[in-house]
Amino acid sequence: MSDLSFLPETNWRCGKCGEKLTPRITNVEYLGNTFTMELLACEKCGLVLIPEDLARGRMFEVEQLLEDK
Amino acid sequence: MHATLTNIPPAPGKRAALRSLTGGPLRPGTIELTAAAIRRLGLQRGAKLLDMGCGYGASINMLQSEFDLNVFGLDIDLGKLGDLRKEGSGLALVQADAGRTPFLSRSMDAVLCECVLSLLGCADDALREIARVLRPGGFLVLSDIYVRSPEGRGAEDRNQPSGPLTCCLDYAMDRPGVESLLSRRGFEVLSFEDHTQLLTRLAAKLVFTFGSLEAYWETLLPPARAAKACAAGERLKPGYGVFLARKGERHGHG
Amino acid sequence: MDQQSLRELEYRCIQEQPPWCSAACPLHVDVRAFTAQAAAGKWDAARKILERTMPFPGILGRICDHPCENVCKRLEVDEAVAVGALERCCIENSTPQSRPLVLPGKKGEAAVFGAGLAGLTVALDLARKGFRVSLRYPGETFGAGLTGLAVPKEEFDQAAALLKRIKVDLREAEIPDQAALDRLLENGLAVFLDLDEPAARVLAEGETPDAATLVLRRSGLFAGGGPDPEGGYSPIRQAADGRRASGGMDRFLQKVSLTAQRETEGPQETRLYTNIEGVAPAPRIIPADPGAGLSGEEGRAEAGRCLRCECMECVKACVYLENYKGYPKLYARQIYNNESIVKGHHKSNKMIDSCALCGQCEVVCPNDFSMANLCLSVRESMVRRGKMPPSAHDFALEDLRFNMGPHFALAQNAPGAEQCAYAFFPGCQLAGSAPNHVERVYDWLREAMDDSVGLILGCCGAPALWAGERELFGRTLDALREMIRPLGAPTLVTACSTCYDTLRRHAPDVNTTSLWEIMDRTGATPSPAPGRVPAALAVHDPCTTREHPKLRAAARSLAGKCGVEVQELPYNNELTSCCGYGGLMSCANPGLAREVAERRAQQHSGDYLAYCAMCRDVFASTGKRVWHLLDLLFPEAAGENPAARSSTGFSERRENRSRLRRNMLKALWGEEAGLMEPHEAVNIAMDADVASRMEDRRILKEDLQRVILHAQETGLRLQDPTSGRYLAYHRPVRVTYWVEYAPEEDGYRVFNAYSHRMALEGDRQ
Ligand code: SF4
Ligand code: SF4
Ligand SMILES: [Zn+2]
Repeated sequence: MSDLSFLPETNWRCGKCGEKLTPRITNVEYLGNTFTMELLACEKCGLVLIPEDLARGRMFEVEQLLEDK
Repeated sequence: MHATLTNIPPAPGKRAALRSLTGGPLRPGTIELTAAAIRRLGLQRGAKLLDMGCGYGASINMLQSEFDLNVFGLDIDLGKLGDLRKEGSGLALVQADAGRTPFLSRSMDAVLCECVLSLLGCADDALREIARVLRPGGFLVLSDIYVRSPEGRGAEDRNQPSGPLTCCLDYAMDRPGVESLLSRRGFEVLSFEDHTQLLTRLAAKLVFTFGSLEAYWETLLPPARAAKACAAGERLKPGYGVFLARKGERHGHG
Repeated sequence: MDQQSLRELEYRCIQEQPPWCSAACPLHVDVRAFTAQAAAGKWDAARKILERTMPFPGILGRICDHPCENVCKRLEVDEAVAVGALERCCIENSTPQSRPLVLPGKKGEAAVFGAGLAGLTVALDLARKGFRVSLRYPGETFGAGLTGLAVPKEEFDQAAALLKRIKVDLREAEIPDQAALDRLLENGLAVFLDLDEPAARVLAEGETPDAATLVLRRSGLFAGGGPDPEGGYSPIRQAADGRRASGGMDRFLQKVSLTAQRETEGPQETRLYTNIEGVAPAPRIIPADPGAGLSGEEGRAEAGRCLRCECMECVKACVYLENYKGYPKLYARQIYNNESIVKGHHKSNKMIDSCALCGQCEVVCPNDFSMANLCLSVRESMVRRGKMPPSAHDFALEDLRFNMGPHFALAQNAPGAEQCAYAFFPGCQLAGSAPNHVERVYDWLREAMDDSVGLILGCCGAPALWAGERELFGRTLDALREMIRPLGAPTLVTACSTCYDTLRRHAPDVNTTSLWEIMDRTGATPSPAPGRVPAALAVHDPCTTREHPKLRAAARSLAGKCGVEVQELPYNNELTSCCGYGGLMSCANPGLAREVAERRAQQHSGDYLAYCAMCRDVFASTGKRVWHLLDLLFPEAAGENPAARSSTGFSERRENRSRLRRNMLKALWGEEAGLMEPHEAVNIAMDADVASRMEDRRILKEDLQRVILHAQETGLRLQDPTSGRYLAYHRPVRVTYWVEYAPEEDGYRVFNAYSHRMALEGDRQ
């Protein structure tokens, strides 16, 4: 089950397979906490897109929160 | 930046989104955690259990299917019960205040109380009521937010309930506070487990969903109060834990 | 940290000690707060402060004999603040502010005989505490003759009305005889005899009450007030007697100890320290009409003379301490609380990690409170318990690993020598910021010294020490020892005071000296190009020279020899402030570090002289013009002004270091440096704004190179078909880097990069 979806409009395609990116359930992990989320990825090779605003925004906030111990 | 909430009734449109976050009501605890606690009680099939503050009934379904208990659900929020009535069939659901339930004295073998006390200005009333409906030797499973840094509580955090959207830190107690309340009401505390990690996880999910805890609070509260709720979380350092307690043989009312 | 050490720490910081006036005041009136309101002309607010501690301010405020003035700190400058006159001025310019609060009824009854200031105070205090109180005095003696002095009759009428309002049974009556008194005591009443009242004095039979409790003869009987033992009358002493007696009577009625925990009552010593340096003398305000006392305006001015005594010595000096809006006593408690709960808290963690560990607080503090020791020990404990946020120091620790790795670390005997007596140890920052200086100094050393001088490139381990990574620090020092040993245990000649200080303290087995001392001693007479050297510079001492006066002296002397007049900054020498790099402050809290640097840079309008490469770069990054001592000693023949050289970026520092190593190995020892790593061959270019964004995000050029290499080799990269650009990610260790790039003629152009610490599934290492 996935709670969190990050599927922005994007021009990026897989540079290896030439495929369009499609939603894919992916796990991300930090300091022993795993979160399941839906990210854009290449269906064939699995290459994932984490956009800048996600990495520097919410992901960063969550990293800070989890470090807060 | 800790999560500072549990089962706060969210603004209407947000409800569905929030439910999907925790697979049920917005609580840090998981259904597995509840199941593990109930398992330790060793209840017989058909034993009577009251789920006080059952919310959307996440635990009720599990309690019936996995333990085959005779479950009664109680919540103050008609809306939640309504949803539940549509889903379940033949559930014994009651809308009532935790301090005044319609159940007979000494009628329950166990009471489950998940993230309820910290929302009540009158936790003691609810505990007295629980003590009343439990049979002597009956069990109480109490999971809740607790305050890990009580010295961070300033006058501004003092219980000022404000309508239905209450920050559960308004009333959350520290661990000794909960334990002394329990023993005053004739309970023997059997165990306490800390599960603060689950609360942190919930907070992380909220940040993923809303961008920040403050943004989450702003979906529920006016901005000024949202900021206050966040600040309270910063100072009080909420944790989350599960108490198991047993009602003494002699104590209790009725 | 345990309770015990917390208490010791708290005791050290005396900021919360009372000022001299309040300590000496038998009632501990908050004079400092009072004068603050008075100086603002807020007489009602000032009165409110008197009302908090003073019984009957309308009376006592007019006639207090102000023992506070005998100990006022201002006496050391000129004259005491006229607190007595100010109180009178306040009473005359204000109206009563608060109604006395009466507590819920308590069991127990008290009888007071005599209505002097002491008796009135006892009645007031006990009634407010909720006891039943009766007050008896012979006709016309209410106030014991104080009327007609400076106190108008109405004040006494108001005092009587007040007592009645709080249910004191107030009556003119003869004072009872001994037998009646005994009966009251037998019935369990607490009785007070005001010795201002002749008939009460008779009952006391000439005995004096116990000084600490004011108990007279037998339990339950209290006495006080009246004339001073040395003669004369002191209104404040009388009121204080009443306060002390009411405290004892309260305890007596509640059946608790009469003596426990009363040490803080009455006049006290204070441990406060207040710096009066620079306080300009300003004589007392003389009222224009001496009979009328200070007017409102005059009172404001007189109140303005109060120094508002407090310590805050460290907070005045340190931007970091100031930033958290408190003082070390509060911080110690916050840190203790943070540590003693299961999980720490972001704000406190950040506070602990933001201290520059520079030790300035300890030197300026009258009690040697060291925030540095506190923060460092807590950092070490956080690391031990696995509670240190990984992002806090990662970047600096990575840098340390680089500096002790194959790209920089090097230990060589002097070219052609088998052993050496000395080895130049420039440290990682000078090598990163000004590699040319390293080469020139090494040349100079080999020429100027009679003994042979080897070269050691590496790190002293300070970043690990600062990060609380004791274990890594120990390993770094051991690695350094391993490098030194084959050279025959030479004395290290350090160019960086951090290396010098760190090795001196933590590796006393390694012989260490400083380049500045050697140059100064050897009489290095550099020949700066005339006209290029500035006439005067303001010297900034690195915080790691705090305990090394010889280093500071040598640096000044060398600058002097170059013809520079050395000017001093406000906090200099052993009091010096950190530039903002120390303690890895800039790693954990870049915003605060920048403020620290900017504030230091503003303390003098002239160009600065630094003799630490890091200090130089930090000031340069704020736009301050700053010379490094080596800029004076080894001036460039021509070209840009060294003071205007900008700060060196993180990537550039690393490149400088590995290039320096490669160049020196080749030029001096004819050796080729080890193999280049494949990513080093990846040629990348980017615009200046992208480069500065990378700097802010702590993304190094080599991180970009690695990602691109990985993407090009595996073909794993996203592509935007319209622009043709690629987006690729790679996680060498703990951080995933994303790079947006496009190939160009002889390499790649980078457009953007970002990173995160969360790991994608299957991407963990
Ligand atoms: S210098 Fe700072 S730490 Fe020392 S007593 Fe004063 S306020 Fe406290
Ligand atoms: S200067 Fe002010 S605060 Fe200091 S001792 Fe005098 S009256 Fe008190
Ligand atoms: Zn693909």
